[in-house]
Amino acid sequence: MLVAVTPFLFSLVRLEYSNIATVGELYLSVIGIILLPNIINIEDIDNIKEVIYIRKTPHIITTILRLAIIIIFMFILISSIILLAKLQQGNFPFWEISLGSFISSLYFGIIGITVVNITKSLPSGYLIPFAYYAFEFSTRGKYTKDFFVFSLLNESFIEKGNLLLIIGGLLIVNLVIIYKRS
Amino acid sequence: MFLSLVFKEIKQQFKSIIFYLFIGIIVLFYITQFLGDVDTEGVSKPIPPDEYREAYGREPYYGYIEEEDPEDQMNLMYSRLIRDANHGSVLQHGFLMSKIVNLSKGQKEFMLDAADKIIKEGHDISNFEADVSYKEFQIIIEKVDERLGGGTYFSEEYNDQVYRQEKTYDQALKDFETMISKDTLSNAYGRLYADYMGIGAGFFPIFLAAFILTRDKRYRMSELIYSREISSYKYVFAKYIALVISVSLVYLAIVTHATILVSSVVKANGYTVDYLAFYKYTFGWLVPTLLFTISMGFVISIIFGNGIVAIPIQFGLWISSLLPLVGDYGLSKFVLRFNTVGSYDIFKESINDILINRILYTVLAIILVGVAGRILSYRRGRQDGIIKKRFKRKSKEDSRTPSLQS
Repeated sequence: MLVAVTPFLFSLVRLEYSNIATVGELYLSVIGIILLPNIINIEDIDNIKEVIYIRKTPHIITTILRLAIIIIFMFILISSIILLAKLQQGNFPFWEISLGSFISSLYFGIIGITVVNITKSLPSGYLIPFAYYAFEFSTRGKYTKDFFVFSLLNESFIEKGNLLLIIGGLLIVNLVIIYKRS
Repeated sequence: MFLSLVFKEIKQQFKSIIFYLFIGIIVLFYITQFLGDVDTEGVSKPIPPDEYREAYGREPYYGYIEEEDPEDQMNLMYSRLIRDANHGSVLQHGFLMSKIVNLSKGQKEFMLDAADKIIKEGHDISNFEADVSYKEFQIIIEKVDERLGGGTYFSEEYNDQVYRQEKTYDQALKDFETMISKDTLSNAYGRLYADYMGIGAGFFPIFLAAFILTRDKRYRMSELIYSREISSYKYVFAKYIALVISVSLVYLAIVTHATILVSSVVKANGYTVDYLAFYKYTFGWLVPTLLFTISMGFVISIIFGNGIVAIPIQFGLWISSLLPLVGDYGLSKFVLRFNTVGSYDIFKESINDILINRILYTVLAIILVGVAGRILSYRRGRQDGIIKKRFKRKSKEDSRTPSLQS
């Protein structure tokens, strides 16, 4: 729904780099926060984890598949909006904006997953990434510098590489926690 | 029972991890946003332009004032018209969000034609002399706004964002003296405090509010609670009041720190201190935002039976309320911004709008909580347990009535 209303909230016609970067970084990045934290504790919601853990298929495989599906879905959602803007006489590099916005979204989502995994509290898994979002939004990289999430607003892609490293690290940590728990 | 439910819910909040995360985030906001703007070395009087250039290596900026002279207004709006037409985009204010709209060729030409009507000789911004009267100018600009789809800075509603001039040093000094004598520094910093803390108050409490009513379903307590005698309205209002009190206690602690800090700086510089200023702005300016945010969490979570839905909805409302930084106190803004120290004249002009806005959002918050109570009563079953009460009363009466057969 968030993605479907995007063309009504923003004009996607004749966008330059800075305009589409605003849409991607400040709006589409929220998709990761909404979609990802929830997938980690699905078994806790109806308390079926004991039943799931004793099954032949290791729970970690299910989690990895779930993550992969959601991450691909996120990329499709984000790049579809960027593509729509590009097709409407957008003047910007499509892949840079798509990947940049996707990495921001994934970064916030992975932080949410980590928080849920550690605290077992879904509201916390939403609160912390949103707080991080608000912090970056208001301080504009003053404290995070080379790890500034919304770097596309400064027309810079370098920081995305640093964020990818953190995403990879957190992903491994989370999968290890889930494996040990199951 | 109502009070005991309120106290139980407050206790529950203070045992919850997310409440402490919320406190951490609000404190972080306070430290990074507000404390960063408080000059603890001393109160800063505006410095003369030469000293400013020497100290900061750039042209001095003293803030802005509203422009009331019609000729100057026409000049400012004309410049805006040319600038936006050449840039190819305008900001359009919508109901929930403002958006940058790129102009079509036709729209750009319309704007440049309008500029040609205002100054027939060409587009020299530096030597402005209008060829139309102020009234004709207003009609031309209104037509530009209509052509662009409305809600732009060319409309009467938003043109105050254009009719502004940068303050000179003398004006800034005069404002500073007005601030000291009529407004007090405490009030000026109090408004800045309410501005920064209002940003957090407009969004983060949703994470506490959105999951309170769904907690019963999560812990499979709904049936037990629904069977109790307490009315749904009392139940929802008790939880609401408990959360408002819990969150307000956090803001009360922070505002006390802010009062002590700013008062010590102001006193050290020999100015008058108003110890109640920060509390005034917390309760009058900030609390209605809190009330509304929490009520939104309640009503959306009970409608959808899921707390997660409230978060993106509140996020959208929150983002739309954050700009401009000063000056917009219309009814669509539940977060009021006043991101400046001083500007007493803007505050004085806007006081009625601010009051109406705060009252509206307080009333709206209470109505929304009432709606949440109503929805809960439907979920519980017909007539919200009244039938259960009637049966209970009947059964008590039956036990007192002697049996006819004995």
